[in-house]
Amino acid sequence: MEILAVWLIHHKASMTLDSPMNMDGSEYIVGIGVVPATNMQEALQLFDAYLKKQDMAVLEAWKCEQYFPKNFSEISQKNSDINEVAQEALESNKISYVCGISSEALDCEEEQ
Amino acid sequence: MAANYKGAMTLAEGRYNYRVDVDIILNNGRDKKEFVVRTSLESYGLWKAKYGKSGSPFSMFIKGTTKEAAVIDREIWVFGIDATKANDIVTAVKIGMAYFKVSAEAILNDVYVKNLNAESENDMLRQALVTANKKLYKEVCIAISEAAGILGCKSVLNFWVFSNSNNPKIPKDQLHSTLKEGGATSVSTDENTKHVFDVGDNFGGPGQRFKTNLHLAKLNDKL
Repeated sequence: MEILAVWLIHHKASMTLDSPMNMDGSEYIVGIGVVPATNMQEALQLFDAYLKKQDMAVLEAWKCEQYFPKNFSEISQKNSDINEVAQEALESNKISYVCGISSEALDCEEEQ
Repeated sequence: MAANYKGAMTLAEGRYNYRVDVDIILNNGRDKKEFVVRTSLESYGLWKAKYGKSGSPFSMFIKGTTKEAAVIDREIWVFGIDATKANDIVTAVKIGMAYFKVSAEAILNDVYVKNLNAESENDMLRQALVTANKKLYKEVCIAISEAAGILGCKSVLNFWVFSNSNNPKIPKDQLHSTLKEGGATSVSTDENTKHVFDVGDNFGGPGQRFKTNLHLAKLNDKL
């Protein structure tokens, strides 16, 4: 028997023009990988492979945590997005991406 | 008929929270629209399944029309509207005309779209996707002009496109040439104002945040 959990990988990943997610010519994106897996190590490996397929790679990861709904119960757009994507990832057993901000958008927000 | 009220129409809407801001104009300006007709390619059922899982924002539905339509505040959402089909656009405009009691021009004068992207994008190489997206924008331009003709709109129409000038899926020069092929007499880009939006994908999940530029194409100019 295997017990599937969802892992949230908070990271920064490189992007190229061929990365399907790229919509503004950014060089990287900061976001959260949402990965169904049986343990953290497997989650990290699966996430690496998922990014590679999209011509992306982890540049930096600062937190990897198991998803527990109670940690995201405070009402905010971010928590609501994480809850939605994590629930779906758990049901579909598919890796997803949430709360991403492109490097171009980050530059803009810093200026403003 | 309510005179002088300005409205707008949007195409290819997805998630409610990511709906297009129809008040934005060039050079960081704002031009308040009194009412909006938003359109989505999906039927209401599919839209709700994809984007409105935790509930739908609508408080009223419009009955007795060929397309499903829902109402929230001064906004109508019309579902099952293919923006490349003039007849679909006409249907959405007519629903808006009947509900808001305004002219077709009041709705069609400003049409907004954010990051149109061909379906099944992940199966395509980038150049194929750029080609598919160019075709999509061109067909939408033609459909808007045809709809304007069917509805008897004589005025020049503003077609507003949010898309980053460096969007690998359709870079600025390709976007501009495509809009012109679709009948735009002029196309301009706001290079000075930066907009940052959450952009959803065609699969319905919460999107990521990207920088975007605003482009303005003039359609239906009979000169």
